[in-house]
Amino acid sequence: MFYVVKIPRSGIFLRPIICPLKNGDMMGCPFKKYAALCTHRLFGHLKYGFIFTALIGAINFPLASYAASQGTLGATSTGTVNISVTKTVEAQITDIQDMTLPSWSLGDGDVTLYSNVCVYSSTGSYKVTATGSGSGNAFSIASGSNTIPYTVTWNNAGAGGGLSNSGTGLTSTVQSTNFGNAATTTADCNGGGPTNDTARIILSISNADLTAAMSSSTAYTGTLTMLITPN
Amino acid sequence: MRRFLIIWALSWALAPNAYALGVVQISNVSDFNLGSWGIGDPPIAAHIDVCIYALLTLPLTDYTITVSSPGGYVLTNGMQQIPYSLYWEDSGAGSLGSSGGTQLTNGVALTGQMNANILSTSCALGTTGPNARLTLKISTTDMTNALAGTYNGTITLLLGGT
Repeated sequence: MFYVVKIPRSGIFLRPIICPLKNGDMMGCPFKKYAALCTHRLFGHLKYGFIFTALIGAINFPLASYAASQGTLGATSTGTVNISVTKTVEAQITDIQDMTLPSWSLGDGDVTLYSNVCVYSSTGSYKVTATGSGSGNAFSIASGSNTIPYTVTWNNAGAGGGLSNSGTGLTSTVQSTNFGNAATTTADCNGGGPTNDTARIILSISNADLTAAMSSSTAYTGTLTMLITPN
Repeated sequence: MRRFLIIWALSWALAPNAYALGVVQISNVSDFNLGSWGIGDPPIAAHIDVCIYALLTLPLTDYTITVSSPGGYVLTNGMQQIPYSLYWEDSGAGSLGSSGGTQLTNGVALTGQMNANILSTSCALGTTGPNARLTLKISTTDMTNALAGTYNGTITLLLGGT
């Protein structure tokens, strides 16, 4: 005669226990202290019972996370399953365009260049760190040893065609305050473009700085790097 | 055993729509821990293989499964939600994965499922091993639309006779 002890559910790993019994009673089971829930008898020589073995498991097995619950034997049987998924925190900037001023002459005045960009953030908001390519990461363009400074402004009006040349001034290498209106449902702003992009970066060069700049046969160039950090 | 079968047969003959005598058990159930998902990742498709035991149901080896979640098939993170879909495949031990399964509807019983194990509540006898598969799917679109965070949900699998 054997008493087969099955474990319907527990928060720990368990093992089946086979206990020799006398005439189907509980006297021969070393774990009878915990095996109080004999519930079903299918065959004359075999019994199925249930035991809550949290204590036994704690002694013999390392604790582990196992939250799903198993069904028990009956007219119906119910198990439960937990589901978990984590959407990662991430951001992306795309649809960036180079900003080019073909030429400038005295009297042309201040210059404003911009590029609409698509900023995706899985949190919906982000911070920007812009870094110039001038000496000490300054916002400046250079032709040889000659340089022209510029300023950088960030507009985060969001998709919908509301982007403009006003916004928040950025300091090179300094992380901005928090900006909202990032794209959250499409990583590329549905292909980008003026009505789908979510932000604009504006580069401004003053008339004074351009006037003071030395003429050059080679263009003044520089690189502006934008680091987007989801917030 | 003989007495048991006689009682079962008499009960079925007298009340053919009452199968309370049949006993069932679902086991080998585990959680869907889907990990992390980021932009560029493929759609989510995960499954758990479970053991369905059914004794004295009619027809033999047949059963009904109902998968329920109180708020619908959605994972939640505060007010944010991610919908998912579930599929049940009853191909039997050794054949799981041979079909995509039948799409489930929240709280609606899927009847006529077959290939339960009738010998062992742990599917350790006869054609051994898990005999049914529950598949969970989340589309790339739904994952992309979700804000960052951890989303959770719980489903209840109710197994019954036919």
